Amino acid sequence: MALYSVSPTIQLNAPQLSDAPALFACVDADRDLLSQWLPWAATTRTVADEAAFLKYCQERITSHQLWLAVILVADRPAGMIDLHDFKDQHASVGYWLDHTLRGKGIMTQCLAAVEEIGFNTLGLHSINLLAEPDNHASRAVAEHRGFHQDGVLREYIPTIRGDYRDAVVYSKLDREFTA
Amino acid sequence: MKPHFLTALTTHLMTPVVADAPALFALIDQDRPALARWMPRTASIQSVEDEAAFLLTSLERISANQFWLAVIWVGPYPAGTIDLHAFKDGHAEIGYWLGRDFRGKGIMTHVLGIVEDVAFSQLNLNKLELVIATGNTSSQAVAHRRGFHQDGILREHLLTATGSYDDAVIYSKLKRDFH
Repeated sequence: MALYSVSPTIQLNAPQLSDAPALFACVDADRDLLSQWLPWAATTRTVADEAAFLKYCQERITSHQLWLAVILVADRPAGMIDLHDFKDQHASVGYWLDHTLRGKGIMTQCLAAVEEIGFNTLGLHSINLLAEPDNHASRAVAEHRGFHQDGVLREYIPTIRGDYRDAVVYSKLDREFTA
Repeated sequence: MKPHFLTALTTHLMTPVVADAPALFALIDQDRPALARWMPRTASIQSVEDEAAFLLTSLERISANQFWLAVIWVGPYPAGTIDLHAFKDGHAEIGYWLGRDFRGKGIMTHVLGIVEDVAFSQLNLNKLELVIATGNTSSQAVAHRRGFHQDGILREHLLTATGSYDDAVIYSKLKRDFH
């Protein structure tokens, strides 16, 4: 993937192993909040863990099972956005962003770019988005981008405590996409 | 076979064997348009050999704990299949079909109860899901009779044999709902 320009200060880039220190710093600075929604944040304990994850992502991208970009804000790796679970021209989108950069509309802009890539480049028919009911920041991104709430999947997401949380499921169809 | 005899016969589930292929193929082949409407994979079953290959692949996936499949027998007659697939995070999705002469007699509702017991008591799953096209009212009736909860409607989710998409009702049953 070539560098994709979302705005003059925001780019999407293919994951590089050299992104590991900056991404790890984001995770490490915000571990409690991130791991509330993203169980992997609890197990990413070192820069080496983050580098191993990036290498795994590169392999999954090469085998066409994953699309993933590192979000660069002012040239600094600050988060990720991905498409996974490709099936029947559907995929699911996932994302996270450094806590100091949230609430500025950055992820909403990144999601618009990923919709453009998903529908126009990858030929998807629909993009799904799952968010826990009380993850208001993530749901606001989905709703700003006009995703439709299809339902609430009961006890869908496993937690680090070993129980499950519900997930709101959203979808957007290719014909609903406008930049 | 006189359909009204069926209600007096005992329904049971058996581990699939490749020798079931001729009987299962005959059920599919005599009812191809009705089955293919909701189960596009039947289009790829054009011979007894195709069904035998499907069963062989299924047995390999069962051995690898990626799949669970039983042949539904009504007395001495193979009548259809029921399976668990897409195992992930303590949940799995159910799939089922019955041959034409065996539908509308409560057989699948009975069988689904047995599979719920297998899933929750033996496989220790937390949740079962059913994803059923909105137009497939007889399959939805089975879900309702077994007390599944409607979580939502996934828009344009199921790819049909003609390349269009059907909306799908997604149902769930939790381990704690199971009696």
